[in-house]
Amino acid sequence: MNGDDETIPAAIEQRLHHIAGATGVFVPPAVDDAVLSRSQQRFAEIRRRRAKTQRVWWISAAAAVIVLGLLASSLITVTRYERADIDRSGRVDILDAFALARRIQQGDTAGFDFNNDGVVDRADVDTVAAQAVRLRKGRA
Amino acid sequence: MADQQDLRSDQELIAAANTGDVGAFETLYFRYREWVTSLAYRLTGDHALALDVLQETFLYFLQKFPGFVLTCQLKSFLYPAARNLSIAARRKAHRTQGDAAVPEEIEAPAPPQALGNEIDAVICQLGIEHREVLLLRFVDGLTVPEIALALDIPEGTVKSRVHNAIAKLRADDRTKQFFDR
Repeated sequence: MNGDDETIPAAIEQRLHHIAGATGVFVPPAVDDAVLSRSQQRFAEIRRRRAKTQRVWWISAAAAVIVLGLLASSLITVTRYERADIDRSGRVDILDAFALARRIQQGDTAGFDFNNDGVVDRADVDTVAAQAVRLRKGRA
Repeated sequence: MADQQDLRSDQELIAAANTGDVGAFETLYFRYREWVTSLAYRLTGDHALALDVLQETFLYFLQKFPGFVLTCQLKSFLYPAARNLSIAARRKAHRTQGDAAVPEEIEAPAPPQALGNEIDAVICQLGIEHREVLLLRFVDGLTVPEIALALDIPEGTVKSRVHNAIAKLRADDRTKQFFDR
C-alpha cells in the first residue's frame, strides 16, 4: 500500500477541490495591511542589522590589514639589520663594512645592494658603515 | 512590493527574504493567503476566526526570518502552524461563549455541503482525519512524506488513512459508481 500511488475518480477529486475552495472567506484589505505592515517593520530591522554587521566586518578587515602592514614593516627592518651583519657577528658594525668591501673585491656581490641603486659598489659599503655608526650612536 | 507575476520559487523567495527583501515575503503571503484562509475556515468553521488564524500564521512565519531554512514544501511548514492556531482559536471561542464543557479535542466542523450533491455528503461523513489527508493529498498535492510532516504522524498512518478513506468512498453506494467507470 503506497499512499502516493492511490488515485480517486476525477468526479470525486473535483468535489474535494470544491469543498477546499468553497469557504467564501473574503480577506479584507485591512487584514493584508496588518500582516504587510508588520513585515515591512521586520524586514527594515533585518536590513539595518545586516548593514551594521557589514560595517563591523569592513572595519575589522581594515584593522587587520593595518596590523599586518605594521608587522610586515617591522619584520623587514629586522631583516635589513640581519642582511648588513656580513660577518654574522650578531651586530652590524664597521667590521661588516670592511667585510663587504672584501666581498666586492672578490666579486661576491649577490644580495648586498643596501642602497637599492641596482649596483653593489663602494656606496653600499658606505651605507653599511653609516648604519653601523648610527647603531653605535644609538647605544651610546 | 509583491509582484503577482513573481515567478521565483518558494526557495528563492525565502533566500531573498533572509537578506531583508520584504517584497519576497509579500509574494509568499499572497501566494499562500487563500490556502491558509481555506484551511483555517475548514478547521474553525468561522470566517472571523479564519481571518485571525490567517494573520497569526503569517506573523508566526515572519518571526522565522532571518535565517529561515525551508526543508520541505512550504505548505508542510504552514499547515501545522495554521492547524494549531485554528484549534487554539476555536478553544478560545468556546470559552468566550461560555460553553459548559470544552472538549479535549475540538472536532472540526463539517465542510459546506452543496444541497443535493451526494459526493459531498459522503465526503462530509468521512472523519476529519480521513477528510484532511484526502484534501492534503488530492487538492494540495502533498506527498505522503509531506503530509506526515505536516500532521506530525508516521507515514504509515498517512497511507492507512488515505487507503481507508478511499475504501469508504468505494464502498458507499452513492460514490462507488465513479470507481467502476
